[in-house]
Amino acid sequence: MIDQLKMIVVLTLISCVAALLIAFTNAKTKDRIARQRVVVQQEALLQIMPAGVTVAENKAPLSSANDTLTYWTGVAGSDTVYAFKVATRGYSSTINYMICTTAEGVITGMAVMEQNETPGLGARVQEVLSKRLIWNGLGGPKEKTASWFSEQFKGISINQPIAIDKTAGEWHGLDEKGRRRLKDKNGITAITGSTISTRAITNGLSTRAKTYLKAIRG
Amino acid sequence: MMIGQEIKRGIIDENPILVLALGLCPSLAVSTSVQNGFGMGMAATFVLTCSNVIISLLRKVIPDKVRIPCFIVIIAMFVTIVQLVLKAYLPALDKQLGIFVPLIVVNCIILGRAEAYASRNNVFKSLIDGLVMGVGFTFALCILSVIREILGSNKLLGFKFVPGFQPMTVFILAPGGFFTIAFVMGVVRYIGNRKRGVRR
Repeated sequence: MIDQLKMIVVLTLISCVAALLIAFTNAKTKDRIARQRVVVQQEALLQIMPAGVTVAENKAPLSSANDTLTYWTGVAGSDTVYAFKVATRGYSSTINYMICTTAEGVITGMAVMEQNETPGLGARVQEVLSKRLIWNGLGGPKEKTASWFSEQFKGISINQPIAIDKTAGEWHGLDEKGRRRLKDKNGITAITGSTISTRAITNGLSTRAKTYLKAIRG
Repeated sequence: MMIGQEIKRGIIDENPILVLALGLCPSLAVSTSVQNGFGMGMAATFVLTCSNVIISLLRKVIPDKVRIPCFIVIIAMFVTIVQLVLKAYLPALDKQLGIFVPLIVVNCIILGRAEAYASRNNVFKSLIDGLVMGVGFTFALCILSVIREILGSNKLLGFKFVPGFQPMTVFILAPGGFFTIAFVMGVVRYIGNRKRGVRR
């Protein structure tokens, strides 16, 4: 009897102390975690919006449910661009990305914010190519470059079907002429071996992103 | 107790991954790049050391029948704390390690050390054991991830490694992880056997 009581008391006490300590850590880190989330968003916005715009947060009602869509406007003179988040199911995860388009649906920038695709394949939607070698790169200042995959969405229109080119090779390997040819047919290059992840993003752009832009424009 | 001997025990003689073959699942998943491997190693070392100390302190209080739930609660608490701290201060690493931080709770290295060592030895010994085992885990993860990052993505610490070399993607994926672990384990066994004078 005593033994059983002891078991219960000890386990309860340990659990209570553990809960207290976790609550304490949570209280200490809560604000910082929330701030980190905002920082990630701000960085993405900075990356996808044209330089020198005034950014403001807005909300638009979505017709499908009682949902609202949070979006950001960037105003420069008489031009306004709209940025919002899109999420689509990829190969092994939901890919969360943010795009910024003009009123006509021409993308000014795209950034993948969160994904859990296959490492070495689909996960390369976020791949940043470093030109520097390890030998001369260590210790130097950090390069700041966008991922090549999102770079190629600049100038693509979401109101027209987006072509996926699987024969030209990857975008970072193309020369000016090849890139222009892609732009002409509103196309992007697929990541080798990851057509599903690539298509998830283009599909999201031509379905969800289109609806969102319509909702924003009213 | 010789500190040097203890370190050697953690890194070589009883290396959690390469000799005891514990915790292979997270090892396989996070050893795709050196940053991930090292970060995971550090997180696990922290949890292992803290849980070893607390479990050793409470070893006379915890009744034998409920020891496993007690251990799990203590380990899970430290893991949750690590997770919150990572999210707040190292968001990039947290994003990379993702699901594998909460999974430290069921990492058999940590429960294994709690059960086999900390619940039977004094606080100081358990602290040292947690540290050396953690270092051994981190060390093994670093070896695996250096090999996998170079062969699988032609990078080291995120920098390009050899110009013009086409990386073998399979090394970033799970099968390559198995190959690498098997190979490194084999080398460690071979060297160990040679030292002990075992003839094939």
